[in-house]
Amino acid sequence: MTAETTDRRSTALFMPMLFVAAAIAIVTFAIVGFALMTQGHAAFNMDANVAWGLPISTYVYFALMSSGLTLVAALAMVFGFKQYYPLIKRAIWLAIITLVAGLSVLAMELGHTFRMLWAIPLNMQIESAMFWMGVFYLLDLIFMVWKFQRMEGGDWSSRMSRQIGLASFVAVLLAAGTLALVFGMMSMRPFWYDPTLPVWFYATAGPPASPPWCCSPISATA
Amino acid sequence: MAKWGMVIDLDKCTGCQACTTACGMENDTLPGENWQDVLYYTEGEYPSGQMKWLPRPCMQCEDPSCVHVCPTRATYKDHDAGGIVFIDWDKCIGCKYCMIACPYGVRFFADEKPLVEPDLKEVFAGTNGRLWDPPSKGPDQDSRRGIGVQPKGVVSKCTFCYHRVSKAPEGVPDLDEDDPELVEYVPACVRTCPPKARFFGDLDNPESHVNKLIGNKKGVRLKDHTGNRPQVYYLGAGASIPAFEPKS
Repeated sequence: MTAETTDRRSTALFMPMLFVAAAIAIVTFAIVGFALMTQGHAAFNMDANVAWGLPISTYVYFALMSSGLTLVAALAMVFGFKQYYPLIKRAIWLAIITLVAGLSVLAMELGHTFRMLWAIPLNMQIESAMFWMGVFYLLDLIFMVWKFQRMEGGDWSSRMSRQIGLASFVAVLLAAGTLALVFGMMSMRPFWYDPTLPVWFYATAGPPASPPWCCSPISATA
Repeated sequence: MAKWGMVIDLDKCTGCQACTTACGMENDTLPGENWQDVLYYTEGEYPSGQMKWLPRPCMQCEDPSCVHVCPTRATYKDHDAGGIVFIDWDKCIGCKYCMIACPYGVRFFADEKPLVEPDLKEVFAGTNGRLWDPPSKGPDQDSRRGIGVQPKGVVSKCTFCYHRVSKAPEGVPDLDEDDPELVEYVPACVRTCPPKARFFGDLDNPESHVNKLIGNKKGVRLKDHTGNRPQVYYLGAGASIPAFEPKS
């Protein structure tokens, strides 16, 4: 099979797959939206004693998977492991998707999602780990989209492209680290309180990102 | 400006929950959304097991962790209002990080399963974005300070009844419910306490009765190791939270 036929076949599948994915996404959001409107946040089984519910664990799962994918991509982007080159583009693409998925889930947890868009930048509470988590994940997303757009245009290894890759690596370390600190700085929550939690988050970011590569034909041939 | 503080004498407290009821009536909170609550514990085992209780308002900490973590500065400590910690309901995004960061569990996000049926949020459905419209709704509404009936999707907490306390004459050392001149300015829980276990006054005034109680009767603050430094002091035996013991 030539590269051309592979491309043609994947293009033919592309639109139907997108439609199916969009349909699943719409149905899922409709179910959650209905539950939120009829039951409120009780739908996530939250109460005064369990302040953070199901969306938070789902958000952390997606956010860390995104971070792990960027770290996998960084093996080639930053550290020059050439055998990982075939993975970079799809790793970055999946990292963008999982991060957007994570942030979408997080939005459902908030009482006033759209108020966040002006209330956080206008008030600049730099003492809050949650503020920095938002800043770094936003930077992470911008750099990843930028890097992907460069790779899409065929620019994989210009000086500029490499610098964007490095920037996304630094941003993702800071993002996953501050995400860990959102939990790890809470001395009043002994279950989470741990200054080394960022290291634990880096370590656990890898495994969820790894399975696609274990069974990927591309990793077998790379 | 005064620094308002509360002193709760656990040797006098009978755990009757009158404070909790008065707070709910005064501040239009939902069942279970107990800005002021009395927590019950059991300590020890048969035959020497004991029932213990701890009345718990917001501690209005001097260095509140909830304020540090709030990403929008919606929750803030107002030194011009006696050091009370408020929530600006117009800025709160409902992320509940303050509920995680509060060591005392005094913050509430009332969007949860109703504690009692029927759900009062449905019986008295809210209008104008309010969570509910209780028929007994009080006249005071200040969303910038989290006073009155709360809107949907925000966190709420005890305000030391700021809508009452703020009207007190300037410079009074104590707000004592036995003083007819001051009784209208006393926080609801203090005013209603049948055994007079609660005292409210100015911690910055060396002549205040609350300062004398703290000094003479060895007042303690809960969970001082967190560095929050509450403005609520406890007197008497058992002025602490019992150690957590997992059930076997």
